[in-house]
Amino acid sequence: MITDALRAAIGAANVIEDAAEREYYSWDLSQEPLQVAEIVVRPGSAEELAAVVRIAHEQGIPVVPRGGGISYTQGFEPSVAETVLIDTTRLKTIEINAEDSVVIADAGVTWEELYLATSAEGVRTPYFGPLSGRFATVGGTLSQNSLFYGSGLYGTSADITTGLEVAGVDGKVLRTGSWAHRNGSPFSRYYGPDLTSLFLGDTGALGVKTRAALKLIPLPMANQAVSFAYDTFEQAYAALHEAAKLEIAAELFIFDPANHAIYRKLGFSFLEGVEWSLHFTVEGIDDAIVDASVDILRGIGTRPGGGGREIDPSLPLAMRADPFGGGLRGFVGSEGHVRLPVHGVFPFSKVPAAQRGVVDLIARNQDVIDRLDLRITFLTAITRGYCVFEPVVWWPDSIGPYRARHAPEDAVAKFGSVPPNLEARAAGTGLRREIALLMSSLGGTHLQVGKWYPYRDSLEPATYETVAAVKHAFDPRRLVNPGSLGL
Amino acid sequence: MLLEQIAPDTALGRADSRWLPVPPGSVFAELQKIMPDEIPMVKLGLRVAKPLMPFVGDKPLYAQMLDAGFAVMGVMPLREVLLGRVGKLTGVFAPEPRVRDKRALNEYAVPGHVKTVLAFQLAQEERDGVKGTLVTFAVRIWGVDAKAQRLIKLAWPVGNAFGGKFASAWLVALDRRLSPTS
Repeated sequence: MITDALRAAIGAANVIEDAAEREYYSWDLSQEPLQVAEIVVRPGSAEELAAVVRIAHEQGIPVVPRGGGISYTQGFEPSVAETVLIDTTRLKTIEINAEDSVVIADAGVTWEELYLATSAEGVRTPYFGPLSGRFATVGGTLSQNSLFYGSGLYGTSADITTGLEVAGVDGKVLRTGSWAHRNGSPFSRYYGPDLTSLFLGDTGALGVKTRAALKLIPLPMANQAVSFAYDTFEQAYAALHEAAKLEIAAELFIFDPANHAIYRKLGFSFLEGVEWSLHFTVEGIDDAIVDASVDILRGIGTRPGGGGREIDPSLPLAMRADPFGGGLRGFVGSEGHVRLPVHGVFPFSKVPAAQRGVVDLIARNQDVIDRLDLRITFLTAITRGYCVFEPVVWWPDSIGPYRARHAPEDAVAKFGSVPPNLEARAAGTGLRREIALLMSSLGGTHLQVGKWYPYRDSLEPATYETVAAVKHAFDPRRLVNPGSLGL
Repeated sequence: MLLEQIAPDTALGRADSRWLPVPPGSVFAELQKIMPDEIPMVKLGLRVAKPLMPFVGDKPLYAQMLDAGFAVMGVMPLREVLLGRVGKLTGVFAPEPRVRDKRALNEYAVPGHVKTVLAFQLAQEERDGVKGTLVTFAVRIWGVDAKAQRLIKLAWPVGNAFGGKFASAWLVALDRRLSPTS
């Protein structure tokens, strides 16, 4: 019996068979559950994790790795019930090497834990986490890829990774980059072919990450922001685009009127009457350097004829003060709506077409949207060199096991027993998929592909065959997160 | 700390602290949710004001401070958030031109006004083997000109006493939310 072998390897307390617990661990936020894993395991070390993978492989049972669970593309949802789901959140070791500007973090470390540990030593990772970093783990994020804090300067989570440690199906642990050198350490991603890249954004299809090595920078001691209001998305985007090319802002994003309504309730009343808002956060070693960048951005934001006027920058600053609290607000709306983002990653030139396409799509579905109380908001954010356009679809529905456990208590008390609204769910998930297809038709790619975005169908055949061959090389029996990336 | 960088040495001020057995992120999330009726002196005021201003108690205090003209002047993620505003000494919450950032606050020089900054400072601190956060609620206030500064000094004993009670009550409310057994 695999259960006995797993208990012997990691302790009986860390092998979960309770049905409700397995359901909680198996379903993400997508409201489109796949299967419930037969067994959930919680290894406490990289060695235990490798042992779990080996045991499952020996018995021909698929494994699926799970990080913080705060994702929405079925990346860790099992495609078959006979699955061992590996919860990595007990892997918590952090080794800071400030001298070499590298930190090695276990897969289960959250971005908030990593930030607190590194900042206490006067350093930080360049990209320092997603909005959901209170829950999102290093391993999960690197499997999905992610952007937000620091991305305007430093790119995505993949861009700051210097090496990975991955448990293969045979239980062997593979290291990448300079970390793979017999006498080496993970100071550089490149030593021969870039094996690190293979596992970044793989949504756990090629192996199970146990540890990651990430770059470090000195902790920026000055943080400022500047914000602007516009009448149209096009005006806001023109300024965003111009500013993005300079690569002087750490975060750059546009909010729409529906987002403003949320933040007005939190005290940001200066957003009253603002249609579109554009926000830049700037960081640096001192105020003089930061102020100079703010002045440049101010010039762009209020350029004559550009339609912008400066507004209070309290919103981006408040987000930075509690950088990982924003994910909490996204769980359940104040009227009981679940919120599900869907995004496209675009070159700067394609974003206006994507925005117009979504607006047209909304108009074509306005009757259903009104009848079932659906809502759509927009977030447009920049990472170094390109743009993420992310509509968020909301609909009234039951909140599901993940939100029930992690959403703010008042929201759970109010909406925890709301029954499923299957009609609204079908409309909401359907609209989400239509938006994803629209993005794909415009050449948009995706972070956190999981089992949800049309990765396979969007790729040129020769490329997909290569990806499938790589999968076969690492996992010939398709026992590591089958179905992820369509593999 | 940001507070020390922005406030001059002549500023009057106070700081109140409390240790809580939770990480800084939880503190930041919760301190923004404290409702007016969780602060005894505000609760008392609400009983009088509510019939006249029905919405005054419906928003968290933090949100009401932003609504009242405080702007975020600076941050250190998960360590400190600094709020500031300019006001008349005779009515700190009276309508005034809003200063939207630290530079504007520094440059504001209209005589007869005072500048107020509030800081929520968080420091990771372990006590008796429990990882937690030392939360400090600090205030600095100073006059734009000599006359305003003199008036501030005269009013400070009352403001200090009131501010101390308010800060303590906020920290107690925070503790009550985060340590239900305390």
